[in-house]
Amino acid sequence: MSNVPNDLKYTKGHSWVKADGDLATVGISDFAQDTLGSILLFELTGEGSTVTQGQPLGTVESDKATSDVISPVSGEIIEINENVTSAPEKANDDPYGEGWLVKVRMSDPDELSNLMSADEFEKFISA
Amino acid sequence: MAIDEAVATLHGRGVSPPTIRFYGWNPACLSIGYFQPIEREVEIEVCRAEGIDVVRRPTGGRAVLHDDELTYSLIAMEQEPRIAGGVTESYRKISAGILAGLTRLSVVADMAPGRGGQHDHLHSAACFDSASSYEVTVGGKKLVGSAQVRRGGVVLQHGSLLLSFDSNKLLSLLKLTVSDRSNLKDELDKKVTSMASIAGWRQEFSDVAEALRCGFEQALAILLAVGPLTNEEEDLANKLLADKYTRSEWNFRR
Repeated sequence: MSNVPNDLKYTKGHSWVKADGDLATVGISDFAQDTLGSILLFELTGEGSTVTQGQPLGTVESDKATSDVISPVSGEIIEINENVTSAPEKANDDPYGEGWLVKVRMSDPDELSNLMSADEFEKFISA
Repeated sequence: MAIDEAVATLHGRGVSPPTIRFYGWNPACLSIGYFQPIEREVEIEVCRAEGIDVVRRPTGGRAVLHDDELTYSLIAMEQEPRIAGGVTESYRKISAGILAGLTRLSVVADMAPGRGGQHDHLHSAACFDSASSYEVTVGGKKLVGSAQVRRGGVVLQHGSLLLSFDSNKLLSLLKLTVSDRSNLKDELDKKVTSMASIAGWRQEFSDVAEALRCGFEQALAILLAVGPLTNEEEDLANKLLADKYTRSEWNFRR
C-alpha cells in the first residue's frame, strides 16, 4: 500500500505539493519512488528558474528508469534541497519529508485546484 | 539513439504509432547512461583508437558495449494497457515478450526476481554487472540489459540482447584500476551470458529478430506491421543526430 498524505495535492506525473501561502514545497510520491527503485540522481532546474504547472522541473534517474519530474505548480524556484541532490536515496526513504525536492514561489496559487486530492490520487494509482 | 528518440517524440505527438524496433550496430559502439560521467568512467582514447563510437543514451543505466548484439526498442504511451502500470510493471510486460521470443529459439529464460523493498546503490560502471527486477536471465545470468526513459507521457524502453559477449573488450574501454578490472571481469563472467554461450553456436541476427517479433506479438497480444521509418521519423532522427547525439555538448555533458 502506498502512502498518500491527506494534506498534499498530487499530479498525474506523481509529484506532490504542500502549499503554505504562496510558498509551495514539491516532491515525488511514495508510489513514484517505489516504482522507480533505487534513486541515483536528480537533475533539477536551478534556483531562480521559472517552472510551469504540468511541465518538467527536472529529471530523476533510478537504477531502472530515467523520468521527468513534473512541476505541480507554476512560479519561481526559490530553493533546491541540497540534501536530496547529494543523497538522492532520501527521496526513496522519506519522499514526503526529507526527500522534498524544491520550493517554489507560486505565481498563481489558484492553480492548486487543478491538482488531485489525496483520495483522487489514491484512485488514480490503483487504477 | 536518434531514431529511438525521434520515434518516441513523434509517437507522443500522435504522429507515429507505438513501435518496436530491432537493430544492430556497425561499428561497435559504447553507449553510456544519461547520468553517467563520461571522462571519469570511459577510456575515450582507447575507443577512438579501436574505431568504437561513444554515445550517451537518453536512458539511464551504465556503460554497454554494443557489438555482437540485437538491440530492441519499444515505444508506447505510458497508459497503453499492454505496458501500463508504472516502471516495474512495464518492465515485466516487455520482458514477457522477450521471454516468449526466446522460447521460440529453444532458450529457457526467466525474469530476475523483484528486489522488493531492498534498495542497493550499485557503483559499477558496467551495465551488465547488475540484474534489476524482471530482467531477462538464463541460468541466473543476465542475457538482456534494458533501460527506460519516460518523457512527455511516452515510454521508451530499449535493451541489448547479447548474441556473443567478450568481457575483455568491454573492460578495455572502461576506466578501471587493475584490481577493479580483474574483479569486474570475474563478476561479468559469472553474471553475464549470451546466445552463443547458451546455444553453443552463434545465432543469426535475423533469426533472433524474427523470434522476438513473434514473442512480442504473442505476449502483448498485438499484430506488428513491418515497415521502414517514415519520412518524418527519418528527418527528425537526422536532426537529432546532427543537433544532439553527435555533439559533445550532449555526449560529454557529464
